[in-house]
Parts: sequence; structure tokens; C-alpha cells
Amino acid sequence: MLGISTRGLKGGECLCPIVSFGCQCQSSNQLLFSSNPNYGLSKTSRKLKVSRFKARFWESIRSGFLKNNSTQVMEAPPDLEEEEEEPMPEEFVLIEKTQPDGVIEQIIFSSGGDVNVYELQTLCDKVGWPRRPLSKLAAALKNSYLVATLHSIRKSPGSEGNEQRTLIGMARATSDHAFNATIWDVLVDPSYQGQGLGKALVEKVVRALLQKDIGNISLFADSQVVDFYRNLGFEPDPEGIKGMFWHPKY
Amino acid sequence: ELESRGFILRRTISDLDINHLNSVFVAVGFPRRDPDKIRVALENTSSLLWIEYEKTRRPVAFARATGDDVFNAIVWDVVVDPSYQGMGLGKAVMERLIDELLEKGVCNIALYSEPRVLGFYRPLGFVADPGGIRGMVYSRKSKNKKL
Repeated sequence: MLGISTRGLKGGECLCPIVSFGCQCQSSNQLLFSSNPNYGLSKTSRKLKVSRFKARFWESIRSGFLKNNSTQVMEAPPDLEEEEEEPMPEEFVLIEKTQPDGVIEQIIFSSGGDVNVYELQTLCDKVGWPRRPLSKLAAALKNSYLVATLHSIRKSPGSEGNEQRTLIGMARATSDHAFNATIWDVLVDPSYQGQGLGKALVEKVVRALLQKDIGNISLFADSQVVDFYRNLGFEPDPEGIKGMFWHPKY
Repeated sequence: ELESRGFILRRTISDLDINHLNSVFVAVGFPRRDPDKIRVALENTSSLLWIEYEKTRRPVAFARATGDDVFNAIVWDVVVDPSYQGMGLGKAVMERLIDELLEKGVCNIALYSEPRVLGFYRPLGFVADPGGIRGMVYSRKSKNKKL
């Protein structure tokens, strides 16, 4: 099953000549948060930050968690008006569950943009997307305003500090940092689909963009995922405005 | 060709008066936006093109494209001052912007078009909803209209 695709190109490599990457000198002094760490060959580093949440909500979740070993959904609360005022933390746990063998798995959302480009390539392979050059992937991530990820972290009981971290989802947005942002490349590992992770990913990206005061959030959706995005608050062809592509490969 | 008619092609914002640009935006019907925010937007736009009219030193046409400079680009704010429309300036700006994007290696060039200007973009090579792809925009109002 394909990942949820919002890319304009479906299959087929880019036929345009590959140009060398001269530095695109965007003056990024207005960036409100960093979205371009070293994407080259660095391994992902774990940086769980302790962040502020609405204390009462998370307390109620935690008290339930400590009582038993079953799956504990720590999903962020549904969208309430108040929720948009609270600054969203950069990294937080979406779901935590304990498997029968005692392994604890956490699904972690992060908007810090810490993506290992090899892991991303693997993920794109899993959802069936055509291969793109690693250097281009890295550049695209670096030039994105927001890169959000879902990682699965598996901890075996008794193996202190030994954990397995896997990239299982990603979404990114480009933007002019002021008016418009466009979401691209939304994908979730097929073995993790069907759990609402794609929805959570997009919902968090939208929230992060809104908090940066970006008023116009857009995307291009393949026909089979239009309803998915409608459900998240996106409207196709608002006021008859049409998405157009230059010489698309269809 | 443009130069002979007194139109200078510009690719940076260094000589661009944001307030003059804002006037052109307003003249074509855009809401008036905060010039400081416009400046931030332009500073974070990797490709832009404008045409300066020699005699007045003012911008008469403009277009810009944001994106990741590798795969995807979206064109925004395509405008021609109403007094200078019908002369091919919009086409000139768009064609050169597309060339610049192609030179960077960007193959996916998209835009959102109001219904009344679909006919402007089509001859330039743009296709609406190719393969059933739909442009979608987030709206806080539609957020509550869940399926």
C-alpha cells in the first residue's frame, strides 16, 4: 500500500539535467526555529526535550499509564480552540505501548527536522516511491521550512539505554516564512498505517505552521487522498481556485 | 526586446521599493499586506523576477516562486500593473521564472490559479488538476466540517 502521497510527480524520475548545488542564499535570519541540521551522514541523535504541556491533561494520561502494562495512547488532545494558543513542543510522544514480550515502543513526533537521509530513502522505498538522489533529498530537506518526523523507539526491558530508533513517517513544508506554506511528501511506513499516524503527522504540521503565523497552508493531493485531507481541514479548489502544474508527466 | 521598450528585467529585491510593489498588488485586487511581512516573504523566496519601467523606476510586473529548490516550486503573486497589462509582460515574467526554475533542476512547478486566469497559464504550459491531483488549502472553518 502506497504511502499517502501528495507529490505532484507520480513515478518517473525527473528528466531535467541535474545541476550542481550552488548555495541558495536565502537569508534565513528570520527563521523562527532551525530546520536544517546536518543532513549529510550524521546519525540521528535522540533529543527528547521535556516540554510544557497542559498539566491537567497529561497528568490524567500518566496516572493511567503507571497502573498497567497495556497500550497507553498518549495522543495529543483533539483540537480545541485553547490548544492552538499553547506553543507546541518540538518533540513529544504520540503513542506508547508495551508489547507482550515486554518491549516498550514509543512513537515520537518531532518538528526539529532531524532526519537521516539514508533512513528517509529506506522509508520512501517502503512506500513505493521512485528513488531520488540522496544529495537532492538532503538539499530538499535543508531547504524546507519545516520537516516533521515520526520515529518508533523500541526499548527492551532490562537493556538500559539500548534502544532502536526507526524513522516511520515524515512530512515537510516549504514556505516564504510569512504568508504561504505548502506541505509535501507526507509518508507513513506501510506497517504503521491505519493507526491515525498520518493524520496526527499532518495535524501537527498544520498546528506548527499556524503557530508560526503562516496564514495560507496548501498542498496538492492525489485524488485518492483528497478525503483524507478534507477531514483534516483542507478544502479542494477553494473559491474555484485550481492547482496547476507545468507540463506534468501524466 | 523588453529593454527596447523601456522595461528592465530584475531578479533581486535590492532595487525594489516594497511599497510600490504593494501598490501593484492592491491595484490588481490583492488585500493590502504589511510591507515588512512582504519583505520577509521576498527574502525567503528563492526565485523572483520583476520588471521595472525605466521611465518611472517602478515595478510593473512581478512573480516569485518558493520551494525546496530541488524538486518542487510554487509560483505566487503573479501581477502586472493594470496600466501595463496586455503587452506580454506577464508572459515575459512567467517564462523567465520558469526558465530559472528549470535551470536549478526543479521539475515540479505548480501554482494556484483563480478561475478567470486559467487561460493565462494554460498557453504557458500549465495544466489544471493533472491526473486528478487537487490543490487544497487549509481553512479553520472547514476544520469543523469533518466527514
